[in-house]
Amino acid sequence: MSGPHFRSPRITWWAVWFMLPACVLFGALVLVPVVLAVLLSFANWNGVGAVHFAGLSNWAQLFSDPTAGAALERTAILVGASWALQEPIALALGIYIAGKQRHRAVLSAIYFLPLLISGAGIGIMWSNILSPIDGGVQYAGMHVSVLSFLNKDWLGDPNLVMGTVVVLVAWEFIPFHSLLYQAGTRQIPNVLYEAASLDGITPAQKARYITLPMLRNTIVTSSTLNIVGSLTIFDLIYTLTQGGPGESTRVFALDQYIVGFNQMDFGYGSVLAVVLGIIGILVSLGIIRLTGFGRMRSQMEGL
Amino acid sequence: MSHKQSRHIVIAGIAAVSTACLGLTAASTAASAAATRVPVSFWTLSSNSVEQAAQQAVVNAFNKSYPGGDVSVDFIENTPYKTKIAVAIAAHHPPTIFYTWGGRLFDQWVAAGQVQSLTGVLAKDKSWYHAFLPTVWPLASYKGQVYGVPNGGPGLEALFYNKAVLEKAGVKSVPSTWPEFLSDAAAVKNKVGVAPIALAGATEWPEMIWLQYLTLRYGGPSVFNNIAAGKANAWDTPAVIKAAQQVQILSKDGYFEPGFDAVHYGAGATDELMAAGRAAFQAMGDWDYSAMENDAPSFVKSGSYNFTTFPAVPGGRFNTELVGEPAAYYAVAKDATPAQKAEAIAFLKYITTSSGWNLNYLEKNGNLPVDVNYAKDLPHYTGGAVLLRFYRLAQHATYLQDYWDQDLPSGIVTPMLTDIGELFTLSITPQKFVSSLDEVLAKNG
Repeated sequence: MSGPHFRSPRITWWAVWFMLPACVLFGALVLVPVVLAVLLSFANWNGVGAVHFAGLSNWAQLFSDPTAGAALERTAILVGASWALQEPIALALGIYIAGKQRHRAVLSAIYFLPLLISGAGIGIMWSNILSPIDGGVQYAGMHVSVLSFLNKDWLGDPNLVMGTVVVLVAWEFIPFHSLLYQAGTRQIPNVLYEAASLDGITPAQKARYITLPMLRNTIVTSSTLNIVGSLTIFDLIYTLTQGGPGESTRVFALDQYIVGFNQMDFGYGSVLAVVLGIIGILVSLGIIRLTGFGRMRSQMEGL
Repeated sequence: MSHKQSRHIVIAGIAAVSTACLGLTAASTAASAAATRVPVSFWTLSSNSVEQAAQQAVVNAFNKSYPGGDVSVDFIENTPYKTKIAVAIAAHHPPTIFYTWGGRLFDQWVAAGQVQSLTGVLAKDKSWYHAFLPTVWPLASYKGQVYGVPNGGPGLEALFYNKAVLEKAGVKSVPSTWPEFLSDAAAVKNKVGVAPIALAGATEWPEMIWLQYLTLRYGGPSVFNNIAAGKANAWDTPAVIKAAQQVQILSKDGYFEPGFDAVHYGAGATDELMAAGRAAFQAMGDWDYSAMENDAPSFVKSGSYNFTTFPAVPGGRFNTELVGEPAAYYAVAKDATPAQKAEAIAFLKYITTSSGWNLNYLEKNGNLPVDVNYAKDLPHYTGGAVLLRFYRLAQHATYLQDYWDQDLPSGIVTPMLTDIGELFTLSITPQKFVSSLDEVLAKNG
C-alpha cells in the first residue's frame, strides 16, 4: 500500500519560510561568532588597538604553554570525576523517582531544587557557605564533634579545592540527569516486567536484565550531555574560586576566559576557544560512534 | 448601520483623534523639554550605602544647578569594574566619565585614542589646577598631556594593626623593623593564639602588597622600574627572590589566617578579623580605614585601629619609600559629543571642589579629601587625626611607587597575580616564580 506523497511544491515552499528565522538566528549568533573566533586566532588583538595579523604564532604558542596543558589536564580530571560521580547517583535517583513509592512526588521536587539556581548563583552561595572565616560548614565542623571532618580548608587548600568543585558541579547537575533517567525509566514497557515476574525474578535481576539495558539510550544521552557539559563548564567555577587558589581550579574554559578578558589577549584566547570547540565536537562524535547511538536503533522491537 | 451606531462611531472617532492630539502635544512638550538635557554616563567604584548616598547627593545637586544637566552614576564593584571598563573601552563605547587608576594600564587606553585630553581646560582654569596636590599629574599624563583629574585623596599602602591584640601579646611598641615585626607576629601567634596577619588571598592584590613592599625595601625603586620597562630578566633579581622567600616563610609558619587563600577582601572578611581581635596586622591601603569606619565603627572609635609605615629592613637603603598613588582619577571619553564633554568637565570641576564631595562624602566617611583646601577640616571627623597622618605622609612623600597591578599592561598583570597566588600557597618556588614572570615579560615585549 503506498503512503501519501509529500511532493506538493506549495508545502515545501512554506517549510522554508518557517525554517528561516531559526536559521538566521543560528547563523548570526552561533556560526558567525565561531568563524570570527577562528579568524581572530590568527591575529593579535588587545581589545583596544587595531587587529594585527599574526599568522600561526598564536597556534605555535599553544604547544609551548604549560598553563593551557595543565588546564587541559584539570578539565580531563573534572570530566572523568564528574561522570563517575553523577551518572550512578542520577541513575539510582531517576529510577527511584520513576517508581510509585509514597512520597516520591514531594522528594522529587526537593531533589530538583539545585537545578533551578543559576550556576553563578550556586558558586557565590557556596563560596559563602564554605568560607573559612564565617561559613556555615566551618562552623559546623568546629562545634559539632561528629562533623569535625568538615573542618577543612575546602576552598583554600589546592589539594582539596578541585574535589570541592567536582562535588558542587554534581550537586548542580544530578537533578537534571536524574530527570532524564526518570523519563527513560517510565518509558520501559511494563510487559517486560510482567513477563519476567512470571518466570520469578528478584529486584536485583530486574535492574540488571531489564531496567539497565532498556535505559541504554538514556545512559548514552545523559553521558554525552554530562561529558560535553563538564568540558565547557564556566560559571560555577568562576564565581566560586575565579580559577584559584593560584591555578588549582583553572579548567580549560576558565583559562580561555582569563587569557581573553583579563589578560586582554584575544588572539590567543580565540585559539583556546577554538581548541575547546574542536575537542567538544570530537568527544561527542566519538561517543556517538562508539556506542552505536547514531544508528538510531529502536529498543521497542517485538513489543 | 443605524443612526445611533453611526453617532457612536463619530463620538468614538472624535475621542480617539483628540486623545491622539493631546498625546502628541504632551510628547512634543516632553521632547522639547528633554531636548536640552544632555545625558552623561558616569561609572565609579561602589562602596557602602552611606558613601554612595553622599555621592549621589552631589550628583543630584549638580544636575539641578547645571542647565540640562543629566549625569547618571553607576556604582560598580572594584574587581568586576576592571573587566567591565576594559570591555567598554575595547568596544569604543566607554561611559562619558569613568574611574581610572592612571599608570601604564591607563596609558594603553589613551594610546588607543579613547580618552579626552584635559590639558587645555586645566591650563585655562588655574584655580582648579591648584586645588590638587602638585604630585597628582604624572600618573594621569601621557606624552605631556593630562588625561584625568583626581577624584579623591592620595592612596597609600601601610601596615594596619590592632593595638588591643598587640597589647594582649605583650608587644610594647609598634614594630618598625622587619625582625621586630616577625617577633611581634610570633608573640601574637603564641601568646594570643590567633593568626597574626589577616590576608585576603583570593583577591590576590592584598598578597601583592606584601611582595611589593618587601621588594621595594630590599631593592629600591629600580627593580620595578626595570620590570615596567620590560627589560629582559627584570624579575630575576636578588630583591624579588628574597621578598618571595620572606612571604613563603610567613605562609609556611602559619602567620596568615587558616584558609586565607579562599578569603576575599571585598566581602570585608579580613576587616572582620581585625575588628574582632582575631588578627593583629593587615597590610592594606588607607581606604581600609573608611571601610572599617563603616563596618565596625566602635572598633575605630576605640582608637585601637591604627597604622604604621611598612617595617624597615636592617641595613637597607630604601626604608622610607612608600607604595601608593597621589590619587585615583576620573577621565572623560573622547568619543562623547561636545555638549557631553562640556557637561562632564563642568561636573568634574563641581564635584572635586565642592564641600558635598570633600566633606560629606570623603572626610565624613574616613577618606582623604581631593581638594587640598579641605585637608585642614580632617581633624573634625572621626579618626581625623589618623587620616591627617596619612595625608601629610602622602603630601610630603619624595617617592611613591604605584601599585604593581595598576602600572603594568593587562597581559602581564593577570599572570603576575596568579603566580603571586601560587607563591603564597607554596605551590611554586621563588625561582620558578621569577622565571615564569620573566617569560611573560619577554612574550609581552
